[in-house]
Amino acid sequence: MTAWLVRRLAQGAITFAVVAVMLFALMRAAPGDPLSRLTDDRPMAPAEVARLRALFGLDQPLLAQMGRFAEAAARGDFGASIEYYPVRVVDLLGSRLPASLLLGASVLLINLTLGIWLGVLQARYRGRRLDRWLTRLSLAGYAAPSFWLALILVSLFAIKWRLLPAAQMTDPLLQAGAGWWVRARDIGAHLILPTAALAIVTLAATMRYQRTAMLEVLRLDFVRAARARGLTESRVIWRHAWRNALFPVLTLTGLWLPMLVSGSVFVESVFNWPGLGSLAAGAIATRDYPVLMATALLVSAAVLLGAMLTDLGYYLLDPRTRDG
Amino acid sequence: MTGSLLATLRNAWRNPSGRWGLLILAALAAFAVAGPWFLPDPAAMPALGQGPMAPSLAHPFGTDPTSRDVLARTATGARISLGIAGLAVLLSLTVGTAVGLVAGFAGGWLDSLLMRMVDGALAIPRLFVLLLLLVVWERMPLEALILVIGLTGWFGTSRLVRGEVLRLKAEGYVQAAAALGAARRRTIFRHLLPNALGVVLVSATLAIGDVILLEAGLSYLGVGVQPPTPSWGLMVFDARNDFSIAPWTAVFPGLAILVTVLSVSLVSDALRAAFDPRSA
Repeated sequence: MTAWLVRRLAQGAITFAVVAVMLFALMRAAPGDPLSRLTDDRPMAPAEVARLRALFGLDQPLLAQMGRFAEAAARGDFGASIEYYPVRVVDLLGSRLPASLLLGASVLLINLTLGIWLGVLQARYRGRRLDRWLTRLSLAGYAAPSFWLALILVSLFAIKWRLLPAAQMTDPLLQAGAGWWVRARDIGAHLILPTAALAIVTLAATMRYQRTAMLEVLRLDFVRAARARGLTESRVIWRHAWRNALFPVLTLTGLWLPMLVSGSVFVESVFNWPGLGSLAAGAIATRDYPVLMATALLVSAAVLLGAMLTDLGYYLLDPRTRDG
Repeated sequence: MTGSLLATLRNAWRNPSGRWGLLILAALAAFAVAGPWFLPDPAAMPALGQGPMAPSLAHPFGTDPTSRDVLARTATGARISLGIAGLAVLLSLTVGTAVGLVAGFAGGWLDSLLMRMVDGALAIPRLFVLLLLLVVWERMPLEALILVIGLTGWFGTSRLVRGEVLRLKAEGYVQAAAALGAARRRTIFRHLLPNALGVVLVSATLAIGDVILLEAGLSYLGVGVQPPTPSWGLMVFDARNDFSIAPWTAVFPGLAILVTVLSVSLVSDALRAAFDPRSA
């Protein structure tokens, strides 16, 4: 176990190093350097430009610059944001993370309940009309651009029918002394539409995975044996088959995490949700590289961590995967 | 071999969802190619100042606040969006297949090196790679945008193809070819490549849908297709503030994206089911 864990962690660390090098290379792929935009069109003395370049370490060889970047990033230091100067990027990310985690958890909850249930239902009625239409509907959800879906949800539920709040995470008019229950209800109401938009675009993946995993299991002899013993179909499905078809769904963490992140860039910016996604979307307009760079690193780390946890889950649950 | 590929494609065609998907795609392509000939000039503003007009016989999709015809813009947008998706995916598939073939066939350190890099690249969500690139480079011409989208999309394909090659290398007929002294080039192009094409085809259809959504998203964020070129994503972005007064300006381009990606997904499903009937 320890040896496996060490090997897997080392593998993850190497991949993360590759990620960091790639992101650094991406940043520097553009002509000139990060200062060019600032200095190119201005009447600046060459000596002044040289001084600025030295100040930011841009006169060093590229490898040395990368070393400095890696060393600072390892300390969690990504410098100051350009848009919110002089706020540090780390603090900015920290303040935006909770809202994103809340939204992500709420979308995950829908996927793990509704998505799994629908996937099992599809496998149970494989090839029938219900299965076919659930496939088409969920694919239509996946095919809808998330920002467009979010716009439609806002214009219907918030503007036309005035049922739910249109933006933000909390009501700014809420009394300062309101009790926790009022606050929780307020956040809950704000959470519904963004969650719905993201759930609609991610459900197809969950359903497909659960359906495939379930079909694999339903073919096996023990399911036939359970049916032969005269158990009711729903008992066979849920008590016998489903338990064995559950952990391929683990793989989903690795699969839908990037999808959730990308989707939340659009959905969060439509709803003005104070999370990482809307931070990244805002950073595009202001060309706030440090923020974009740090967000990309954070998200990649989350993706790698998700993959590692999936592997750990397999390791613990399925001894067959332990060699290799 | 080619015979079995044709038989598989015939099976996919028998799948009603797949057939509908393909027919709708063909109709969309025809709309993209021929539409702009029959429709009004997408940039013309004949009634500037009168505000947006609701869908009518003269303007089936209505007009936007500057009185441009939404149907004509959607047709021109189809050329842009479908063109970008087609070319970018072609590029991704070529590079991905080549890298996968090389890695799988060569094995050893080259394989390890390539796959470690692919692991790293796959860990960064593609949207962020593109955002960083596009923000650093600022306004990109359309050709460069296609290049960039294509070159960030081959990682998954390369891994799939490599897996197929590794599987095929262990098959009797490939071993027999090697034992009979077949040249490496012959093994690769006569045995490995044709048999790995099925995987490539399925991943191509999936990739087209992804790229259409991606391009729409990038354009929505303002770093993709640049105005006044109408791309579907850009049209939704332009219309977002008029949504409550002129919903048709945003609904139709969004629907165009949805219908296209849905059709591509249905075709992809049908292909996958034809290649691997157990999963259907």
